[in-house]
Order: sequence, then C-alpha cells, then structure tokens
Amino acid sequence: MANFSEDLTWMVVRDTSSFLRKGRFPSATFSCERGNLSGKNSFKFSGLANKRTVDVQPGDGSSLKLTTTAKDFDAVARKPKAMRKTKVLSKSMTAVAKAVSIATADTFYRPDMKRAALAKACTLKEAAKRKAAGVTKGKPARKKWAWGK
Amino acid sequence: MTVKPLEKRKKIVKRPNKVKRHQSDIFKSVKESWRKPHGIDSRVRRKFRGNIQMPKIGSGTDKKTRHRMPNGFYRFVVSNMKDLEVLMMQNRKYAAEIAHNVSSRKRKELVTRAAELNIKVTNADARVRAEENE
Repeated sequence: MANFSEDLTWMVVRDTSSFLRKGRFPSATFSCERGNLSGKNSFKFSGLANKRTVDVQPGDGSSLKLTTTAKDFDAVARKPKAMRKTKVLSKSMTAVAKAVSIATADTFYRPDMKRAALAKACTLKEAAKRKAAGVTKGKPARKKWAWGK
Repeated sequence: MTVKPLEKRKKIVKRPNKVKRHQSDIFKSVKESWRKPHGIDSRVRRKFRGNIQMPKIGSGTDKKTRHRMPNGFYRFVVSNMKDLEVLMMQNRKYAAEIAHNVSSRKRKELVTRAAELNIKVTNADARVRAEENE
C-alpha cells in the first residue's frame, strides 16, 4: 500500500513481490501478505494494492483478530501504526459474523469482502477448535516394514 | 473427517505412452524428447505405414484434469508455514506436498497445522515413519 493510485501499485506488485508463492504444475500463484483474505494473487484480494483491506488472523486460543486499514488511508499512508486497526474477537462465531459484517458490508467499507472474511473466520474458528480438541496428532506411523515379510 | 476435493473427474489419458523422438533409439546424441521431423525425405513426417505417429494438437490432456492428482486435488509444494497457510482458503482444490528438503521436525509442525486447517497433505507420513521405525 502506498500513497499513490491502487491500480499503479497493483501493476508494480502483481508479479514481483516477496509475498508471492508459486506452484509449478499447475502453475498457480498465491500471495501471503496481510490483508489478503483468500490467498489468491488478484487485485480484488490484494492486501498491497488496495487501500481498504480487511483481514482475519488467529489470536490467542479461539479468539480472532479482525484488522482493517484506516478509512482515510492517504492521511496515514506514512504511519504504519495508525494505518491498521485491530479488533480482538473472542466470542462465539455468531458474534464474530456480526462484527465481520459490520466491518465489511454494513458500513459499506468493503462489501465485496464479506463472504471471504466470513469464510476465513469460520476456517480459523474450526482450526482453533480442532487444536483444542487435540485431534491433530497426525496419522499413526505405518507398521515396520522389512524384507521378506 | 478428511477433506475431499470440490470436484472429481475421471482423468482421460489419450496417449499413455510418451512419444519418443524419431531415431532417438539409434543415435545417442538424439535425445528422447519430441522434436518434429522436418527433413524432405523423412518417412515419419510423410506418415508412412508402420512409423511413429506424430503427436498432434489434440493429443493433449483435458485442461480440467491436467496436472490433477487421481484423488482430485492439485498439488502445491510447500516448504514452510507461510506457504501452507496460503492454501487455507483453497483446501478443496489444492493439496499440500511438503518439499523434499524439509526436516522431520518442521514436517511435524506442518502436518499438525495442515490437519488443523483441514488441508490435505500428500506426503504426511514421510520421514516421520522412518524416524519411528528406527
């Protein structure tokens, strides 16, 4: 994110950035910067090119962190601390969904991000649940294999 | 429950065998990778009976199943946590494959995180198995 046009930033950043993760077969490009909800490398989801971004990150335990960039972005473009606002959501999924909806669509901040933000929030909530339940110990190792047996 | 791909199609392979380059069996310097013969007298180019059949534009695999594994996922090679988390929202389309040079300690972390995020890992029991057998 910078102080100039979103489209210009996107043209610069779309194929050269340290956040890109490329696959070979099939050649897929993902992006892992903050503010990218889906991991896709596209203008819509880019956390670098868009001035208004929404992100959901895991917090402590089962809580989530909802981060949005400042509405008057150009005013704080050079102040990284004031650029992002983070809210800790530690309540149930219903409350999280409400907060996400307010942050994206209800306030007309980024209505197109509502679905993606909800999906990510759900995924992270589920992940936290699985972690707490301890079901992720991995598969048991296969039996010992030896010649002639 | 293990994660399943959104869409699973049967892969149709039109040509199971790779087409070898003409005369690659005769000369060592002529490698096997396909090159179209251009010589004026070439019997392969002139499509004589009993010769190699040249691949055509239609010999390719269907785009919808190309590079897709038999389990319906696309493969994405992952070597650290950041790579893995990128697949978080793509877990019904892409499966992670841990890169060959990742240590068993880090492998364990990746496999656990993948299980939490419901991402399929194609080689989840590599190295771990070898360690426990010792």
